[in-house]
Parts: sequence; structure tokens; C-alpha cells
Amino acid sequence: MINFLRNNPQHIIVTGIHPRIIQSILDFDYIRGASESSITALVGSTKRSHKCWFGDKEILLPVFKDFASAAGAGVVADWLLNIASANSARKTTESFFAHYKDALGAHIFAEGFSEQDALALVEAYGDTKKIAGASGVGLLVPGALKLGAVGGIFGGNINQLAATSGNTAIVCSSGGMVNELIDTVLRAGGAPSFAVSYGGDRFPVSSPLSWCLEAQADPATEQIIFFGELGGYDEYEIVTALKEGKITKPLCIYIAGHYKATDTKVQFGHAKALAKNPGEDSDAKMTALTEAGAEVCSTYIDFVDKIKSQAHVKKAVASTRVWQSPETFREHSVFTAVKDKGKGSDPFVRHALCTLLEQEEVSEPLVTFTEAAYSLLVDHGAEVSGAVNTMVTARAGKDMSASLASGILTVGDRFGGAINAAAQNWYQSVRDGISVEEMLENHKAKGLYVMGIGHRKYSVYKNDPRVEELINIAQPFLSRSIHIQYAQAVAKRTTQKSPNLILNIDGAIAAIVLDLLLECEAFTEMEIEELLRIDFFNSYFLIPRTVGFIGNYLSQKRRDEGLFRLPDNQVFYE
Amino acid sequence: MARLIISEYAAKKLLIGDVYQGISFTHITDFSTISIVAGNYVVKVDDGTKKRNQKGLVKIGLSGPSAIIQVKKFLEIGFKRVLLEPEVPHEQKSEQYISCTLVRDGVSVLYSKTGGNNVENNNEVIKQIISRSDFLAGTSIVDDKIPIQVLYRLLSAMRQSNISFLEINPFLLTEQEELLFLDAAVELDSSKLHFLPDWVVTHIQNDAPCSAVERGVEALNAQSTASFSLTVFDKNATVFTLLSGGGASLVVLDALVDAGMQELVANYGEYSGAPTREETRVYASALLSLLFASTAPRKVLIIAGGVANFTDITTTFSGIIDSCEEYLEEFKKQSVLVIVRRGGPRQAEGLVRLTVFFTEHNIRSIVSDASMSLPCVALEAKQFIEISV
Repeated sequence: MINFLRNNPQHIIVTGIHPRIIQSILDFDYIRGASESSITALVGSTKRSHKCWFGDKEILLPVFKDFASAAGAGVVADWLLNIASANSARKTTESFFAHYKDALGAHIFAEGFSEQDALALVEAYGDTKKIAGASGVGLLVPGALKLGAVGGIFGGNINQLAATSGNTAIVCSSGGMVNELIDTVLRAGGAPSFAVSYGGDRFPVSSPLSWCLEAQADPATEQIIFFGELGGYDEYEIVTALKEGKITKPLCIYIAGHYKATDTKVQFGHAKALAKNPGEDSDAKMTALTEAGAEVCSTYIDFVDKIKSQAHVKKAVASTRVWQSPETFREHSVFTAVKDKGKGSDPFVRHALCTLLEQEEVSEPLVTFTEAAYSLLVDHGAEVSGAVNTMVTARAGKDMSASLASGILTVGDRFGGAINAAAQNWYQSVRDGISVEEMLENHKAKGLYVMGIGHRKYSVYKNDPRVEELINIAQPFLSRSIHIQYAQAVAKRTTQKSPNLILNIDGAIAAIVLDLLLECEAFTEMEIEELLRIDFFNSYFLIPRTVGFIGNYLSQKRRDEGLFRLPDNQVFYE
Repeated sequence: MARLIISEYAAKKLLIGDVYQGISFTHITDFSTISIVAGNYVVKVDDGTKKRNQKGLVKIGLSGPSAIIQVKKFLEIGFKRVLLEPEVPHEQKSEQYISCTLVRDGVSVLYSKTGGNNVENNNEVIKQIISRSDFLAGTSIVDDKIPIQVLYRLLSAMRQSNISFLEINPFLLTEQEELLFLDAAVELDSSKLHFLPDWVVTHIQNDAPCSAVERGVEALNAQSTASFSLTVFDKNATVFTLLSGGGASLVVLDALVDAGMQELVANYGEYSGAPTREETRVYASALLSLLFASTAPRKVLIIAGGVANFTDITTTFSGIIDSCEEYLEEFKKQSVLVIVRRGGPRQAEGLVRLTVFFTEHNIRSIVSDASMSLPCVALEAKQFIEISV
């Protein structure tokens, strides 16, 4: 498998956010000459994007709430880098493989992963996936893949590991020691063919032996360095494999944990590092491995000397970039913005739509409809709450921006701000196949109004002419108009209950814009959902009504009647 | 910590449930509230002491009142936990043995119909592996050699309470198929401890007597996302270790052992997982307090680790400097050599800061990056000690 990774671009999804580890992977990718980041997405945060550096350029990695939405958005992944907590690491790993069945493997970073959770992962993926950990720092294939903190997080060895590859496989229980051994091999003039910390827990998901067999199968690996420690019995699998001739490449071993506790057993740093039963101590393991034919170093000094004396190979990775990973974490820009996509030569409405939708082009039908909708909604009738506020403020002697602001501040669910909420309701009901009856029942049960339905002035007896006009403008461009039909079906039912529960202008605009975006702009579900989340639909009221409020302001200023005060009989005191 | 040994009381309560009739005592209380019925009682020291039978720490055949007196006696002697439970009259030949250990392939079961003597080499002992998939799924197991209801119950308790190891030695299976546990030992998986009832935590047996400093480090570890551990071997020894990384810390300790210095090592101390400056200061201060309290004439402090992946060397070394500042007076009074060897993110700045600090305050030190091989710290320590002897 290791050789496959060298020859095929690998893609990683990260769950849990650890900015420095993520950045180190991008630095590695950039130096090794990748055209883009190997990390395709992050999963499991409420953020929508995560800012990183790719070389000297900032980029945004997309963030998804779960693996289902990442997979749904077409994000590809071969590996999971799981930096989530020990408690959630099993669930997130299972969820990843449920959505990415063909993925190759994972690294689980957390310490304190439970033994039974580990066994459950061994049972589910032990034969089919490569999983480094739990605990440790992951898997590194120089010039190809950096799955985790392995090799460091900035500066130093990342530069070398991205650009050079060697003939020594490093298989190590410990996250810290794998990097130490990488450093030792680099100082000896070599480079790793790959390096893995399989984890300091009692049951690493992929066994130490399985990594040794990867090394055996890897054509670039000519020698294996193995670092194990006291506790557990994993090394005896290697003993068996050696005896059966399954590992023939030179295997140089160090087993840590030489301290002989007298009457009590000492728990060392890693979870498994406790020799309680016969065979779990370092002496027993060293003896068995020596007998099986491995080169076991009895002291660490010998181990380092042995590594230094090995025949090392160090080859440059093709097409690397000349660039140094900086020694410190780089600060990011504060905001991310996009350049205006509209053209100065466009008419106002077309330009506005390009800006709001972040599109280079928008369709004629959307422009035509929006032109009409804006025009209808300028409406500077003076009775509505926003207009009253604007006028009162203007007469108090305040300027245009203060008066406009006081008008705008009245916009909300009750006045003008219902378009987005209505769109949300139409969209979700249609998407989830919720019947009109069911939707109305749900609202009733929760004591909620149906947004976009009902008008104080208009009713079935006196139609809102604006609603009809808008639907008539859009209808010829639409072949399906599913949201308009749904909204009309709702109104048909609600007007049976009360004559003024008609489809109002907010509800109509919401339905029409949804249909236009789907049919004429070819927006995807995800794009529509984002527009709903960021309140886009309310711009249909705010933009034109700003003109209306400024009109209210100017007309008051022209005819200045002085400070407004309510007549005495207009206020009732309890 | 990975596998935690709990008291016999807690083991039985987890395995048997609320019907378990044992009572656990940690201090002398108002014994009049304890309801004593007719029949005999057993009183056992239950604080993790090994070979209780040989040491006379298990008393059987006691009447209710004399059992209470025995509980009191054990507590007065200073045993930390004592167990009182009704005695189960039985014949010795009806005693059976079973143990279950979580292994990579599933659960390794040892069963003996003739009790637990010499389990490892007893021909009558049945050894069996319950496969990983059967164990995880709770599949019913067909086997005529091991009493199935016993095994099934124990495996389900293992799943439920995240038990890694259990040993019932002995248990009885009455003719009415009633299962009775006479002695039980359980090891819990520490990573799922917070899913168990709160009382379980108070029943963890600490092997070594735990000093206040060690308990302080335990508390620090519990509060932090980084990890800290400290075990004192000999508080008056010469070499104190402040090491980083589960693997590298072992390598340094190995190097000291391999250089023939095991008896000189005062402690095993390890931090990892990118602690903050303040956390590192608290941890280093715990170690320095031990170092300066040691009665050894000259001392060595080894601050060492591998080439860190993501632990920030400047941050952690700043914490160590903060801590050394608290002990400047002691550094002047005592003869201490500090040996530092470390690499990793922001190593250059961290190592320079430390060197400058030691030089400014005339603290004897050797500071190196990863160009010095890890076990060299042991050789440097040995040289210093041998010259000074």
C-alpha cells in the first residue's frame, strides 16, 4: 500500500480542529510540489471555513458539520485524520468509513481511547483499513502523505521530509520517539521510506506487525527500525512472523522499559506501558525477538549506533518547490472577502444580483423579476412602522443615515423581514416532502404563524394585486415552479380558515426566488441552503425599501414641520 | 493510567449489583447503625495488599459483634479499607476459579473446576479465547466446559463497566445454580471511568503510597488536555527526571538503568501533549520541590525529551524557567547539575532562553538540542556524580 501512496494523490478529511497540525500538512504538501492541499475538508465544527496558508497564499478549507454533508457535497477522501476527543473518536471514525467506504485508513490522535472501543475498531476495520493509533502522531510517507503531527508541525524536518525520501521504514509505538528516530535517520544521512507511530495504547487498531508487513511489501524500504516498549504482547506477533519467514528485510529493534520495579509495578507514560504479567517486560520481548532473528539492541546507544552504521539512501522527490516551512505559526488576515463580481457597466439590478449572489452572470428572468419586485417594494407609503420611524427621526432634526437606520431597525418578522423565514419554510417543506396539512399542523402545534401567509388589508375578497403581478412575471420562465405551487396550495387551505390568510407578498417573493434560483440559475441544494442560512432573501425587502425610507426622509425634510410629539389623547395611561 | 485496580468491594458490587451484601469501611464510624444478622461474617483488609491470607488479613468465622471489633482493629492498625461480608459456608472442594482478560483477539478465559491454585500450570485448567466479535456483540456462547451462565454474566459485566481484567477466585455454583463470589479482583479501563457511578472512583487502589506531590500532579493531569505523570521511586535519591513524551521518557530512564544508575533515580516524571506555560510551571515546581527536599548531597535534574512533534519548546521551557525562579535560593544553596536535551517546534528560542537563564543565575547546566544523542544525558549525569563522589 505504501508504494501506492507515492504514486497516487491522497486526500484527507480532518475531524477536530488543530490549526498547527493542519498547517503542517499544508506546508508539507506545498513543499512536495502538490498542486493543492491534500486536506479536502474539515468536519465537525460550526465554522464554515478554516483559514490556512498554502505556501505564501492564504486559502480557506471548507468545514462541514458531519461526514454525510461532506460526502454529499462531493468532497473526496482517502484518509481520516481524527483529532477529536477520545470519547468521540470511535463514533467519528465509524461515521467516516460509513460515508467513505473505499477510504484507505485513518489516524486517531486521542490518548485515553478505551480498550473496548479500540477492539471494536479492530473488529470492524482491522483487516481492511490501515489505522494508526489510537494515540501517537500518525503516518508519514515522505514526499507523498503526512497524516498527522508526525515529522513536526513547522520548520525543521518538514522541509526535508517533504522533499526527500529514503530506504528506512520507522515503526514506533511512541509519537515523540517516531520523530526522534526520523531525526536520527536524517542526521545519519538517510531518510525514512515511511514512518508511523502505531500508538502507545494496549490495542493499536492496526497492529505493529501489520506495519512491519507494509515495510516488507514496500519496494522502497530496505531496512526496518522498530521501537517498542514494555506492556502488552504485540511484539510476539512479530516474533511469529519472523519465524515464519514473513519478514526478511533487516529488522533493527529497541524495546524500551528497562527499569525493574521492585515490589510494585510502575505505570509509565503510555497507556499500555505497564508490565504486569509474564512476557510483558522488555527483557522477555527482547529475548524472544533475538531468538526469532531480529537485531535487538540492548541499549539505546547501540540502537543509535546501529542506525548510523546502516546503508542509507536519500533521494530527492520529483517536482518539489523551493520554499521553507517557517519556524513559527503564521498569523492570518482578519477578514476574508470577495471582489465584486458585477460589472460597472451593468444596470443596477443586474449588478446588485451579481454582487449578492457572488456570481459573474445572472439569468435574464431573475433580473426581470427582481427589477419588478424591487420596484413594487419601494412603496413609500407613510403608514407602515418603518416609514413612521423614519419620519419621526427626520422631524427630530436628525440626518439621513440616522433616519434611515431608525426605519430599517423596525424590519423583522412582523414587518418586511419575513421573506427569508417564508423561503425557509417553503424550501424545507418541499425538500422533505411535508404535506400542506402536515406543515400547518406542525405550526399550529408549536403556536407559530406561517410566514408569508396573511395580510391586514388584503383578503380573498380583495386580492393583493402585487402578488398576482409578480407571479405572472416569473411564471413564463419556469417549467416546474414547485415552491410557487406549494405556497399557493398552502394559501388555498389557509384561506378556507380565514379569508385574509392569503399568500402575501413576502411569501410570494420567497417562493418565486426559490424557483428562479433552482430553475434559471441552476443553484444546488447546498447553495440554496447557504442563502437561507445567511438571510439572502430578506435583501428583496431591504434594498428597495431603503429607497422608500429615504423618500420618507426627504419628503419630511422638504416640508419640515418641526419636532413631532404625539397629541395628548393618543396615549392611554393605565 | 490505563488499567485501574479497584477494591474487592467495588469489584463485587460491579459484578453482582445492588444485592451484594458487603460493607466497605475506610474509617471508624458509628457501627451501631450496621444491621447484623445471625450467622458468620468474614472481615478482610481491602486496600490492595497482596497475599492477605498468608499475612493474616482475612478473618473468617466471626460472629457479628466480633466481626465489627475486627473491622475496628484493622482500621486502627492503619489499613485504609476493610471489607465486611456474610460468610458463605461451603466445602473447599466446591471452589472454582475463573479469570477473563481483554486481549487483542477478544477475551482470554481461564477456568478451573478445582479452584485457583497454580492456575498457570494446572492441567485441569481450561484456557479459552472468546472471539472479539462474540464478545463485542454479546453473542451467546456455546461451550460445555465452562459454566455458561457464569461466563455470560461476567462478559456482560465487562462490556457494561469497561472491565479489562477480572478474576474470581474462588466462586461457588450452588445446586440451585446460585452464583457466589468469595473473592474477586477487577481492573477497569481508566478511559471510561467517568461513565461509571461516582463511588467507583473512591475505590481505586493505589499501588504505591502516594505523596502529596504525586497527588498534586494527578490533579493537574486531570484538569489538563496535556498529560502529566509522576512516580517517586526514592525521594532521597540523586537523579530527578523531568521528561517529555511517553517513549522518550522511557529511553532516558533506560539509559540511566543501562548505565548502572537505577538506584540513583529518584523518580519517573513525564509530560506530553503540548501543555501551557502555566501548567508546565506547576508541574516543574512539583518536581523541584522534591529535588530540593532530597537528602542526597549532590543532585542532577534531567530535563529531556525527543524531537517534539507539536509541543512548543519555547512555551514549555518558559514554564520551566518560571518554576526555577521560585527556587533560585535553593539553587544557590545546593549543588545541582541541570542537563537539558530537547528538540522540536521553536526549539532554538527555548534552548537559548534556558541557557541565558542558567548562565545569569550561575546554575550549573548542560543544554543541548537533538544533536546530542538522547542517552548521553545519562552519561553526563554519571560523570557528574562519579566526579563528585
